[in-house]
Amino acid sequence: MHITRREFLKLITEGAAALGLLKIASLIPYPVQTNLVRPPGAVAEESFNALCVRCGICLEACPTKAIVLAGYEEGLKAANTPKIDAYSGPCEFYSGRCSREMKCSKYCPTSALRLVSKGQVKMGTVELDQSKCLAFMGQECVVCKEKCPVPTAITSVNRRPVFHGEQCVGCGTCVYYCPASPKALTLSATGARRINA
Amino acid sequence: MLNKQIGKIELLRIFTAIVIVVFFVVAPIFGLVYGTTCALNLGNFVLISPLEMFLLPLSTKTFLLTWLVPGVTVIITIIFFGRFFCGWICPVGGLLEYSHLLTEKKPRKNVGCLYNNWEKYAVLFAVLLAAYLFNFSAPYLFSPPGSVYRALVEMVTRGIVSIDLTVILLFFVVDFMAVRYGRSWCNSLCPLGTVISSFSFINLFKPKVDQEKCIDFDFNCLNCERVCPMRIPVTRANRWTMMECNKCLKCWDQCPVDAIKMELFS
Repeated sequence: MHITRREFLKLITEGAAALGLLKIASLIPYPVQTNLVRPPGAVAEESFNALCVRCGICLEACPTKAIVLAGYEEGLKAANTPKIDAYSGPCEFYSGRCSREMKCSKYCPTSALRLVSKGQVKMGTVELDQSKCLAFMGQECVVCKEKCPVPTAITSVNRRPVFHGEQCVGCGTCVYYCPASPKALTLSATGARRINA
Repeated sequence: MLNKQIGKIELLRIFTAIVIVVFFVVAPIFGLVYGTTCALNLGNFVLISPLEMFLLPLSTKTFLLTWLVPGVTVIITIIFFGRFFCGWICPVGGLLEYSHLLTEKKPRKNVGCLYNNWEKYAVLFAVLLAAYLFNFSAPYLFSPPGSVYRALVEMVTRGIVSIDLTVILLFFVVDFMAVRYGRSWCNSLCPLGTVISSFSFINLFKPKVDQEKCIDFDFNCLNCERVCPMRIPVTRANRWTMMECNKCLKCWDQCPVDAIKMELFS
């Protein structure tokens, strides 16, 4: 096999460039994220990252704009995968436009999101920050209790909301409608139930 | 001079590419079709990109029966039609092919492939290996059409302008390559294109040179080889080099003596 000097130099430069890129890639930290709130019907986190092809169909299908894409700050593995952003929209899988069938799970091409009955789904838990809540500041506000689709998840005691984490399905409706600014409620993935792939 | 000429066929191709992009962005708003080139959902019927089709079993280490129908459909399609997708549907291909019209001052150099042929198989192997080792669908980092469409979908449905790593790569590295060397990303690095071309065994509708009419030996014309975006040696092509053909019809359009015929079977 005959190699000219030019080809040899080209190969050397390309090899050096590839090694440099690999070195840079190995420096990027990617923690395994488990605190992302996934759309309803998502399989367990490890299988979800393997199954999701980042096509964006769930974004197009979501009627309430609750699904957004995770950024690169969530790690290289989770980047561009769908997550629920309750500030962007409420997930209406429990009651509302998706109560019959979840649109994101229905149209997912690789079954990273699967059609399950809505009783099985728990996407996360909503937590209350009492220092930001209007009701705790002495105003009349029970918006979260009125908007909540689950009858027993939020109860009012002395005109103040009390959250019951076990009943909460993590849909984020109360977070979306919370009138306080900054919002008194946060949705996290604690206590989420996922199907095993 | 040759680079500045845009024939009717090329206008048709640019028009088709724009129509397809607009369709993919507008159709989900009316609930007609969900998805883009990465995966398509036509209601009851799903299509998945061939590259993803190979990566999914590698990254998950299982095989789901729901992938069977989309996988078989896509592989039969690429066996019959080859890189038709690259020439007429892929938004990045068109962008690369015509980006030199906007910026180029001097004519493009006719340099053959920027990379040797084996390197695209190395890129494909690296992508497959990464999916197997790290258990995630790694090609989204390397797939320009996928990330262009993902950025478009995010922009239209959510109003977010995201800065995707691949979009940066596309506009700074790949586009620089395109301005100097034409579609060198497509013919020498693209992992999706490599999967498609390695499976295009039947490859309908490809150019055939009529050696009696061809003026290659008399005038050293070789117009067809110069305009070919996939850098196929058209006049002396064989079955294997013709697997790269993306059916752009440029050689057929630009031949001065009409020596090239597009044959359905050959």
